[in-house]
Amino acid sequence: MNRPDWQVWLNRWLKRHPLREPPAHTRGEYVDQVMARIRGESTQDQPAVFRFLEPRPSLAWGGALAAGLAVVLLVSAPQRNLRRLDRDSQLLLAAGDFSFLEEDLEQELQEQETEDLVEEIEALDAVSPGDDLLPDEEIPV
Amino acid sequence: MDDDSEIIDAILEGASDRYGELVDRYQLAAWKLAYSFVGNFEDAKDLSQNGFVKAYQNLGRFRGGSRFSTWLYRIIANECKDFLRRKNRRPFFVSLSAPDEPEEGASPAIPFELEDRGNNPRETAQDRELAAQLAGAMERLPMKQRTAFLLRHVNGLSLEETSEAMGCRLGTVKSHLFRASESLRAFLGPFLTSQETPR
Repeated sequence: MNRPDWQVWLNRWLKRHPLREPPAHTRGEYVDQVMARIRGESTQDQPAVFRFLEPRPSLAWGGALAAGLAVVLLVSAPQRNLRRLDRDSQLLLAAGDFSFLEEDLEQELQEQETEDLVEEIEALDAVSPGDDLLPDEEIPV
Repeated sequence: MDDDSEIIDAILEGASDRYGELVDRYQLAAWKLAYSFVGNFEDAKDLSQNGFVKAYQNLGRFRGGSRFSTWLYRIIANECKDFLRRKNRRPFFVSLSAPDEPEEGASPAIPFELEDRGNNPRETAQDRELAAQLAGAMERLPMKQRTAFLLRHVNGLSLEETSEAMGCRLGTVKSHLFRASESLRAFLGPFLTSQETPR
């Protein structure tokens, strides 16, 4: 069947065979059911159709929620760190062995002393910078 | 349209009971529209009623530039499409026994009125077969083509109304309709040529 014939045939067929209709006896309750649903769903406050007039709550609620969350995080973070520090120190106290700490401390002090010494030498060099630049023959014997 | 606008204004001013007038006015068209999508009256009733409730809840957003009816049809068509997507997405719930067979006593979903040809059972059977073929072919159309075809040819909306209800331009609707018609022709061609006198 070519295209024009097909269009004519289809239109004619659909006119002769329209869509079936819903059973007539159930149509009466249709409106009541819709209205009951509408009344049921909008009895808590104003009719739902007016809700759009109110300021949209989504943005305000979202902002408030985000601010609240930020405050909770800010407040809880230091407390959480303090709690962890406290717990760690209690654990160390319970263990009672600090020798590793002493060793570390001693080593650290030694390193610090060496660094200080080097700095002092460098400072002296800075005061008389030309000493090591003098030619060998000028060195007083 | 003027009548609809007057009722809508009244509802927005607080006379919510007047919505019943709109429901009464469009219930049959709405029910039939949903039925053309889903193929059974119970689901179609629920879906079209959902559409009415959603339309009521969003009545404040309804723009008077379009018709209430086409706006409502758009909501209902979307309800139906969501329903069909959900339905197609649940293959795991299909019974494993005889999955392709309809329930006992259930007739195949033919959404069209069929003529009673009285003493010509052969033609009656042909009509029935053709209607089933057409219904099956419509189900295979892509959703936009199917929507355009159902709104325009099955539910009898004008091109402009179809365009409003689909929320797209007239040219786009015409394109969907043309493609739908060609697809149906391709689906039904072999069947029609096997018939002596296609009706």
